[in-house]
Amino acid sequence: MRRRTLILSCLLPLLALGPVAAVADGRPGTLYAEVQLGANGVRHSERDFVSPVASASLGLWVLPNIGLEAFADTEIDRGSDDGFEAGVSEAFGAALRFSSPPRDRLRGYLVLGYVDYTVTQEPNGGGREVDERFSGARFGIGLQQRLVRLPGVLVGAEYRNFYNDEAIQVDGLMIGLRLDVR
Amino acid sequence: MSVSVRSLPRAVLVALFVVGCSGDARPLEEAIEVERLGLESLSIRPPLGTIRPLTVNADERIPFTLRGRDDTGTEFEIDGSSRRWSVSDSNVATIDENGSFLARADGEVEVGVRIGEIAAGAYVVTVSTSSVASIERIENPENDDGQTSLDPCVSERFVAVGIFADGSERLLPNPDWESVTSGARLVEEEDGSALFSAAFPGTAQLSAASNQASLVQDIPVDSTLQEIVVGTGNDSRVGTGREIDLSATGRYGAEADGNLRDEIITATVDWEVTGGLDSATVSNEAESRGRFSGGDSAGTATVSARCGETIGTGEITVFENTDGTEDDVRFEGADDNDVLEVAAGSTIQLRFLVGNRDFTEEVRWRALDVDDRELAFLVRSGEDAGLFTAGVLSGGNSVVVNALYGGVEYPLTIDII
Repeated sequence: MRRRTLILSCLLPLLALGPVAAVADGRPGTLYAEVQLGANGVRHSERDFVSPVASASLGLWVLPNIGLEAFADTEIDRGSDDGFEAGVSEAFGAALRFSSPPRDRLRGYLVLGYVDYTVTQEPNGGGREVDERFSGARFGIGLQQRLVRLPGVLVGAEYRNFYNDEAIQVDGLMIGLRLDVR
Repeated sequence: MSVSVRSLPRAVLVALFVVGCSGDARPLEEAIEVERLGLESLSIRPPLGTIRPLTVNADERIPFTLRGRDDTGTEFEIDGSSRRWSVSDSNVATIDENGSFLARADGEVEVGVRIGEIAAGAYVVTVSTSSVASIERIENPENDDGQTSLDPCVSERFVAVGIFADGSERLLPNPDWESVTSGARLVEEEDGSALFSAAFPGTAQLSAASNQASLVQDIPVDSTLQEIVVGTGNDSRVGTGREIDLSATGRYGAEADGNLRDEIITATVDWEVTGGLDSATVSNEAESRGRFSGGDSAGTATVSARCGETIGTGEITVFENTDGTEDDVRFEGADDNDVLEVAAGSTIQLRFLVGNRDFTEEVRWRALDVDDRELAFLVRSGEDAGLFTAGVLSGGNSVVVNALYGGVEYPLTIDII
């Protein structure tokens, strides 16, 4: 809970800058921040656990339309299936963001990076909680639309996948706000 | 500076591949498995007949297995493969994820395994390289007291227990087995045990030898075999040149108490064609025991299965294939894929042809998956064998009909239009 509060408290002031931020739009040397809400799916042992999740990213455009970012996720609740609750309780990592040039304020992007995440699982009726930590690749693909009235802010939707060669699949759908900072 | 910034994305991607993946999903999967099985405790099991404390030579391999117990106290087998097996000292021994233990050097080692949060009690293995000094006994590991009598022609597993030069008592890993008893059969297994059967009531002798030590043990054979029933499968008919697998079932027990039990003894009886056809044969080879071959002339063959003085017989009709081969078999009116179209509501006579000869009445007809007479009806035998009626409302359905000929089933697909 403390981690969750920390992430949100860091991002909210940035969002507050939205109205005064200039439109950087992938220009090298400018920063961006993003908050997302969505659902993570964890699948293993023929069970599907879908959990609400919050994510925050902070990045720097290092080349035109190529950003380097750090991100952190935290679970809001934990999914349940067939007698168990499980979900990605936390995740963090770094990634490269490859963004397309905007067209009519709309742009697509790919995110490719490294993720370290923890899957937490426990029986519904109570019992010992199991935490297993994984690392692997993070892959994301999404679309973002820049707002007309708040030109420093983009709304977007993203599909993402935490790839690991273990018998566990983690992916999710997120919607979020990105803030470009001068 | 600009060069280093431009190379940054490539450097990051390279770093990602170097870091790679890590993690283990098994604890999560196992937690679910533990809940599903209601697993309360876990125990490591050595091979059947193992003497405790377990002592082995270096380079010896032991396949450990797992048993679990649920909250009702019921014991059950658990798949021991892809588990988190461990040994306390990898210099003394190693173990793979399937529970295969390999002794490497003299010493003592504890074997462990866990499924989820359930850990098995440690199983201690002593590695002590030593040679066999004497063979103490031959026993049946599936009997609690180790000793047993045999039912005629029923195989039982036997192991040999030896005393080694270091004083330890061990199961012999690879003894040489032998029996000179008439009618006895012996199969040496890879795990060092022997499957042994004897045909005549009385006493059979089984011997084990290892490293110049040997032991001959008398094993009583009871007079429990009452009769042998020869099975000829679904169809006691076979075409000339064709084969059919026969079976032998022994009925054991005391007839007086009426409590007879059946044992399959196909592999331990002596098979013989005792009459009717000179050209028919039945195999006594290990891999094809009881396989009857129709030979080249038609008639009725009498086949016997003998265990000691007890003989069971069966009759098999061998019919002539004429000039037919499997390539010549066809259903009249069917296309090359053995599909025949029949109008709904109509009745037709199916005909099974081999070469130019009509075997419609000789074959056994069978309709698959038809339990609804309104869909289709097939006459299976008799004068009208092969008479097929498609139901009035059965258009659009398909029915598969089989013709059993010479021990082989030939399918015909009937599309009802």
